[in-house]
Amino acid sequence: MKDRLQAGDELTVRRFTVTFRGGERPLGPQQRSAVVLYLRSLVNSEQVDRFMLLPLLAGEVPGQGNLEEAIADRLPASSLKRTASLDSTVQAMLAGEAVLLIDDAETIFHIAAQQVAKRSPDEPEAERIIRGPKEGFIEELDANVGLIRRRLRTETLRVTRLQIGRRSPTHVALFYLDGVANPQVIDTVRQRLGAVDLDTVPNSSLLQALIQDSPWTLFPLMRISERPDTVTRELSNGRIVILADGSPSALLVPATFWDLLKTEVDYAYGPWVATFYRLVRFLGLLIGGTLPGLYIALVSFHPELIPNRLSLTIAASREGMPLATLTEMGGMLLVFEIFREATLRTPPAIGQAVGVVAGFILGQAAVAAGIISDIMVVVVALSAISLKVVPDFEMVMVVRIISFGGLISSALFGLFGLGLWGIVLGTHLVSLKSFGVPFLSPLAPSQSGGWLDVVIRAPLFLLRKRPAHLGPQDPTRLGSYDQPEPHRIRPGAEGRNTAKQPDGKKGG
Amino acid sequence: MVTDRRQVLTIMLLLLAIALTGCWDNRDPRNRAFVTALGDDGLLEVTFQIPAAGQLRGSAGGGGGKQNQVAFTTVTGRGENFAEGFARAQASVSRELYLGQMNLLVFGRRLVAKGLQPLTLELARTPEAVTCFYAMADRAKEALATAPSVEPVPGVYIRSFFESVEVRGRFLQTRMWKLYRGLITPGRDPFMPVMETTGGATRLAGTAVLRGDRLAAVLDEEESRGLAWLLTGTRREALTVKVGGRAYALRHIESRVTTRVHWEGNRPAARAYVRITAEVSAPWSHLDSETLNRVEAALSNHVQEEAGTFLKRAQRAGSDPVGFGARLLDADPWRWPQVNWDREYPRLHLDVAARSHIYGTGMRK
Repeated sequence: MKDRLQAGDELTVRRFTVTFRGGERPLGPQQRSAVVLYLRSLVNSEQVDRFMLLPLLAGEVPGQGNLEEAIADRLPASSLKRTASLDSTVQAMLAGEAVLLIDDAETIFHIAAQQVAKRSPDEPEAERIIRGPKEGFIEELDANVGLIRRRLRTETLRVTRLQIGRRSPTHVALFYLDGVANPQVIDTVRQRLGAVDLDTVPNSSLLQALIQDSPWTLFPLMRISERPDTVTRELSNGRIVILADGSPSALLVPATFWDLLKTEVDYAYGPWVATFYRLVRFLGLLIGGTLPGLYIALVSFHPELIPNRLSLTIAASREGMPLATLTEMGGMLLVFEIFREATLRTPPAIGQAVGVVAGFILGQAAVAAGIISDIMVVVVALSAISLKVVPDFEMVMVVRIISFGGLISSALFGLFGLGLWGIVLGTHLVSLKSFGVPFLSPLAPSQSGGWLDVVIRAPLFLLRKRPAHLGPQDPTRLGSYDQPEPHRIRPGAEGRNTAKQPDGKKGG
Repeated sequence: MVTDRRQVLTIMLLLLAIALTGCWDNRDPRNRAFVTALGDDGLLEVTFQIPAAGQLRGSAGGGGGKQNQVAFTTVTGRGENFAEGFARAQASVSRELYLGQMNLLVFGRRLVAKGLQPLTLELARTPEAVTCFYAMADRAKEALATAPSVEPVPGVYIRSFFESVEVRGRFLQTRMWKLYRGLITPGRDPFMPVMETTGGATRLAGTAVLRGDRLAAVLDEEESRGLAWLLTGTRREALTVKVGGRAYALRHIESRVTTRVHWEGNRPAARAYVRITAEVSAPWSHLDSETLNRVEAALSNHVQEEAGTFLKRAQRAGSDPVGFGARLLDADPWRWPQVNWDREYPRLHLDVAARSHIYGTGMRK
């Protein structure tokens, strides 16, 4: 065992003797030597002492004959497992279990006594909301399963555990609601996960790259969330969730383009507020993706399309600038990306100072020095800020890259080039699929009623059906709904029940 | 096979795209001279008004100090025709003269007197000129070189001035495409507002009416208003009528005009019905119904008079900007060829019947 693990000092070995009084051999107590092995870094030694060593050292182990049964009866741990192979024993030790070996016995006993540094389930940074639950997944799979189970107290919640990783097996859990999720999609997910032949799985995002439909695409074909409430909602919509041990990010499949623009907040407020902010998000996406290209196209190719005074203002701001519009815009966007990366890598304490230097001082100084025009700063800042409304972080970066593409095609062919770029992207988007579900559904291909929760967010009582494009087994989410009867309270009529009777007419 | 053809087609379309537009159309604003106004004095002189972008920046920056600075320049080129004038003017500026932001076309009086035809035929091939406002000035070059008091660039100033409702109601103005239409429609003559530069300021003073493509007469303000009544251009015009020694200020709301053409024996005659709606803006005390009737009658009279004055002048000049001839052609296309409209129009029996309705009298119904 020592040779296999090569763990040196970390491997704790405790030798002792078990006294056993068997029924079959009435010769008196027998002495057997035993050893407890575990990796100190993974195991809580107190638990091992309490549930493994103490019961066996406290006195003689009584038994009806079989030594192994007698020992199993003696150990009070509920997690007690028995194996016979050395390989699985090594795996168990690496997973944080303590192992008991007894001289002359074929069975090896393990108990789970893991001790892992855990953080509390704090609200995820990237998915903060004002109203609603403030919990987030952590790096421990069992805790995450618990967070989901607590929200979905139904026996139809199926949790399938797989082990992925040739060299270091990692637990991966697959969640779905039986009778809701589409069985074909479940099979596909299972099949693809089973085919993953990765040696280690440090992060669930690696699985995403290996199991998504189009490995070459720019777009993320899965939604990632660290919120148990989002995961619960999507499970009940008929989606499948993949969680890997050691990673707080849940993969939600199948995902559509529109899912990447949804947030949990959409369901925390009324339909009007939610719809308005969803539209704002779309607008932000559009501005962030097209504004740099549009500016180049309008200013360099089609100035006649700009209103009179604005064109003069732009001309005035471009006057005397040493760089061509494209160089200026491309340079500014690149510099912005560099700033973004730089502030991301900077510790928060000085990150703010870096931000001020980057954004304010450099921007202002460059304009004052006459290197870049002030309108260009406005355009670049606007396109950068607009993208911040997109909730999915990967999507933000994708749209950034798209905007560079739009910039280049606009610089080559003007508005026509921008249109062409739009067509190329549109064609690509409609060709994408996420686990068999078209990426742009339910709008393309369109599904009746599908738009109710896409661009707008209809009142919840209209969202009676689960998303049809996911092919759920049980299409109905909300059963019957009756609008509450209005009650009228008469002032002055104290002590009497003045509420309108439910059999009364509606209105009033 | 099908895929091959499709691929070829796609590639061809993409190549075609490059032919439609390309990097060679890319021109940085630094290298463009945005022409805001164009003047043509005929006699081989074309003037372009170019805002000096660098100076606009100062005035746009706000604050003060540079408010009175002239932020534009003019370039003049001489040539046999517009294209040559353009080329010569272009040769004297370092930047490309760019007509896409042009607002205003000013025709010099001498050019209009000589006839617009050669120039308009050339301009019709300049798509940028189609949506421009146009006006006539004594000398286009001077009109374009005059700095306005509010805007830093006169072309922009004139445009916003033209677009203001009050000005539109008093001096009818239209875009170039309507001028083209007026030039080619039988039985209708074009008109153009007259720009006057006095004491370093530009204003509109009257309307020029054309006969064919030549200047026929310049109407004064009253006659211009008469034309505006008949072409329903009047908008929010402040009107004052006197009844019983008291002045009533009215504000025009809307008017409608119907023209009818009929035959008096062998000769055509025409009548314009004008219905005016106005509201009382002062005095604020209420009108009784008798006064109201008198005010309404006075307003109708006022309109009839102004329109009548205009018609007399127009008939004398032989110009038909209202388009009675076109109306006759519509109504009686078979007899039109027998009518010598140029001869008939000056002695045509034309009259105007106005009816007005006044709101806001303070009377309760």
